[in-house]
Amino acid sequence: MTRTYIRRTGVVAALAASLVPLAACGGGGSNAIDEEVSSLTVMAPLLAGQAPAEDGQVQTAIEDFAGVELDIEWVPGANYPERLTTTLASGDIPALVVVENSKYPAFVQAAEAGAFWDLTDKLDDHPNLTPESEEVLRASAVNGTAYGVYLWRDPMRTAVTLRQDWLDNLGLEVPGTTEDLHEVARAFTEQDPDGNGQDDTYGLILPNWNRLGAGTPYDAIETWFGAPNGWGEVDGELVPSFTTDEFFEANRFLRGMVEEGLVNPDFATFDGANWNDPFTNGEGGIIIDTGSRAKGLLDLFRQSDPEDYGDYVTVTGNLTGPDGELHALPTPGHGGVLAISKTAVPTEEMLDRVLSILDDLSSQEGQTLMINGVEGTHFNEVDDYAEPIVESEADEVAQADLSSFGLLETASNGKLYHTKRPAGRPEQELVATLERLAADDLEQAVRNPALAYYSEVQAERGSQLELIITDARAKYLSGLISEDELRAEIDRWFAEGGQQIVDDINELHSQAS
Amino acid sequence: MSVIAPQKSTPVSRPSADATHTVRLRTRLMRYRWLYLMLLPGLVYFAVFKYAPMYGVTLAFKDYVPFLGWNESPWVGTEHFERLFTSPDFPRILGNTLFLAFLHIVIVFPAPIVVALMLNEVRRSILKRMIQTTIYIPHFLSWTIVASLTYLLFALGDGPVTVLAENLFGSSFAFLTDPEWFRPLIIFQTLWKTTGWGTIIYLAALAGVDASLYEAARIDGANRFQQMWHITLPAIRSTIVIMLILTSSNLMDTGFEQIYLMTNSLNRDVAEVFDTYVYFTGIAQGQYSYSTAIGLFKGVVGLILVFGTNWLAKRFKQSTLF
Amino acid sequence: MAVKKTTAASRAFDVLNVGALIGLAVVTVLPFLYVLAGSFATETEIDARPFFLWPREVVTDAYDFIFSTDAFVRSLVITIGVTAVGTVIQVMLTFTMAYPLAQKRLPGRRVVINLVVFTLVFGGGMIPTFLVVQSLGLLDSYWALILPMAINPFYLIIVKNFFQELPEELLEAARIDGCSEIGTFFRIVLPLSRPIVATFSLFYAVAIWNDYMSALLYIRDTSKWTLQMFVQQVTVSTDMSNTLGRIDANFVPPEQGVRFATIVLATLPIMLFYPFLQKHFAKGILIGSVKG
Repeated sequence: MTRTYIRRTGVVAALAASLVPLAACGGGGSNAIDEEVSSLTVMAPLLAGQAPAEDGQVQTAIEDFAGVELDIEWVPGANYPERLTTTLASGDIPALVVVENSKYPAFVQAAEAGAFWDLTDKLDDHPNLTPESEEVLRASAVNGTAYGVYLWRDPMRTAVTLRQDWLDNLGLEVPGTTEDLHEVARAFTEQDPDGNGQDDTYGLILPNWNRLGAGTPYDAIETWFGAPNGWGEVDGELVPSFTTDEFFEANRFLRGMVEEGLVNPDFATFDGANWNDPFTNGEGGIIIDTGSRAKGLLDLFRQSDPEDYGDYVTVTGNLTGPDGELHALPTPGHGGVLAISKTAVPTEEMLDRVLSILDDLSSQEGQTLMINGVEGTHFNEVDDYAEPIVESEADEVAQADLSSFGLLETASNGKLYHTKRPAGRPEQELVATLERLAADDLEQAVRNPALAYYSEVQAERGSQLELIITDARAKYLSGLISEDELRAEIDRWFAEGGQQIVDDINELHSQAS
Repeated sequence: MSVIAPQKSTPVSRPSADATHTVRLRTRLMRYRWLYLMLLPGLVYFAVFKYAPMYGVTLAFKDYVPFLGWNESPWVGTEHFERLFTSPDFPRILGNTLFLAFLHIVIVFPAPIVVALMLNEVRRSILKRMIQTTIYIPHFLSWTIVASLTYLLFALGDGPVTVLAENLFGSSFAFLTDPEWFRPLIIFQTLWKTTGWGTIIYLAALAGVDASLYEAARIDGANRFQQMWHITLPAIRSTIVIMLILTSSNLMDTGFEQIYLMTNSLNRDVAEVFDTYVYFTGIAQGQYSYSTAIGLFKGVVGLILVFGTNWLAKRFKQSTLF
Repeated sequence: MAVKKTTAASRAFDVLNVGALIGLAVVTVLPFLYVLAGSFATETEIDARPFFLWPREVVTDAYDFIFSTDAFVRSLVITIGVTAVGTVIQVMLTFTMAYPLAQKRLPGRRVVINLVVFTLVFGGGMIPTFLVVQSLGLLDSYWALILPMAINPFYLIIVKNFFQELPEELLEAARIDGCSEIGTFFRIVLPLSRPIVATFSLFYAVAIWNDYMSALLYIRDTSKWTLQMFVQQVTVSTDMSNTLGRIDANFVPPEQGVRFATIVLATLPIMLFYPFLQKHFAKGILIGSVKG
């Protein structure tokens, strides 16, 4: 039976194989060539609950300003990679594609195979596309080649959010050093900061968001202790942060806090999506994350206590390490790139036209329009801030649309739009504080030099190998393994392919410099 | 000899011996023309949507670059398979996958049969319908919801189930992170979510059992268990066998979402299976060819399981059919 | 059922049996009741209380939010339409293919069955299937949500198995009466198979209803989004501020109440479909009987 089966199936398989050329050549540019570029197809991730309507106020205003019609494919943000991959396979690639991870292998391979324009030498021809920071440009590029205009992001966002009322109750100051952090966490745990007479609080709320060099609280603490941000240069060689002494010192510190009970005991499983809950419920009092977290928390307190909500939340920036120096953890400074496809934009002339449209949209006027909206309709300018106008349901829709279009704004020439001015006084103070802290910390930012490099080995195996380190770190912090065992796991990382990554990155580094 | 024939096929009566082969074939085709016509739409479906994309399995032997397409992507032979089989993770992942598959066959597969038999014994039809409708509900809740409810109920320290267990046994439980508890939790979740829905197919088979058979059995003095054993169970036996064979085909599919959501740094050693591994390589690392190779390997194992179960079913039937 | 005397053992069996089943029903329904209660609760209550079946304060904010735009209703209407049309087509295709495959005398059926079994374990994968759908011009068409999964090989084999158990004498009688095979199928076989038709209508309907991946890959126009796309977009938590990466970006955590209400609204219509079908399950006596 089996033989018959194989023989007959074989015939069908051969038949199916003969269909291959047919099926594999799907697409290939259904976009008719439009020399004037009167319309642009765009693919972008959608984070809001609802996609902006094509004929919505915001899109119409942007189209009028740019002099081009936009045909935008909004893709559910959670599954963007799947759609990006099938779109690349179809050959029918929209003119503008948001690529959130500019080192995503399918994108890099496609770009190197000629799917997207190399913009490295073109950006400087357009004043508003000239990058503000060469370093961010390199970080967003693939080994020196820019396959897109990078999407500007705040370069410094790390912040420590604390319960102001708890600090006040205990007569404590906002921490300035990691040692202060330890003291405050201990006081929050042991000295009944909410004054209810019960031992029901702890200090630091840690989530299971456990990655390397991804802006997690673990990364922040390691950086504060002087460990590199992801990768660092030691004796002229680039090495991963977890090989340095400072990495171990930081984790010894954190393990001590776990042992003392100053951290939520379920940190290995605690979902970062619920990060706010213990803070607002009065279980934990410290969150190490971004400044936006503090603002979100303030919002939540306003709902439960509209009068005095400003008294619950305070924020500070990066903390000084045991060496007495401030090592601040920055972001990569970009949120991916906006790539221009060669299938939809086949000629240099069209490319120039598309770039000049993007140039317009990145001018001060363009940035303001994409992020703040139309002055007088969507916002009013108050002290250089943009105060949103929300009076009707249509205004709410417009604000939601603006948050989606904001994702498409490149602003790689630097931030020229207005920071949004929140409604209440405490929020306004918070935003001002965050801006000041970020500006100060940025001076002491610890850069990740490896961000510029795309290593094939790393792309293929990096995230699987990373699990060795992050799992071992979580086990070490939980007290399940010793420091020697943690070191043994790091050796395993090297043995199972990590060494190749190190070699690869260093080769790229020496070629670049 | 078909793959799924529950009974031995009865020999087709042969036309007279002097008829030539071609004539025979033509008359047979003519005789069955309506049946072939009915078969046609389905055949077209399988050709277009199942077999035309089947060239995709060859991507396991290429280094597929989505933009370049099938033609331009280079052949790499068995490189991806070598990488899979020599990967230090492979034995562990294979072990974890097979262990879960084993638990699935032994615990999850029989559960709906038992519940269907129990439901069949409920005499009041309103009560029966209400219970049926209720136990289908979990099928409609996504794994995300199931996982977040599990985290809630089994939380370290203050989860209701954790508190209950600690009061009963006097020791502390880390259900969510202790590797020992990972498989029990997964099986429990699967039972909870799929058992009710799984009864539907057996209840449909039971809908046809002739009520007079029970009447006759009662007159013969058979008790409830004997009735179940001699009437109900035989009536659904072939359905059970078919379901078993079909289930074995996708035993390697442990389900990505459920496992992924229950995995954490402390239990990954027992939690990682092919489906989560494929997620990290295929989606997070964007290696389409490598994940295709893993899919092909899973398919081969599935095929062996299907033929193996079918072979067993045949032997089993030969000895027990009468 | 007219039973003259029930023994004590039989009664004890009934009590235990029904008791166990009710216990099972309670365990399965509790979490859903929590979701239902949560959809009517305030955000503060959901955060503060780990598990509850009745909110302290009943609010409809979550539902107001969902119905504040027409996106939900639009996606619901689309999904009901696709599910209705899709179920009819898929059931028809599956049953018409299963019937000839159940005829043991049909030459060539073994090859077809083997080819079907092959697709249980091997598939072309996401990209090749996408390219086939694209080359057929089905992108952005509702047909892309129906045709690529028109026949589930799993179901096909089960239906074929059911057909094989139809009493042969019955089909012979129909043929002697002069029915063609197609006539026999539509006039005798299908009416006798009502529980099976009802069962697989339910299976197909629920599969289309819950399908997210097809819509994600094949539907690009956001005005054609299905219910599951809507649900996914609302319930999957995305930290907007992290992706926007701006100080003034508001980190608005997805409201639990809205997630719960979305789940309730997306689940109820298809759950209500079941009792409607249920009355067909008891009828159609002959399948699976006699031979066993």
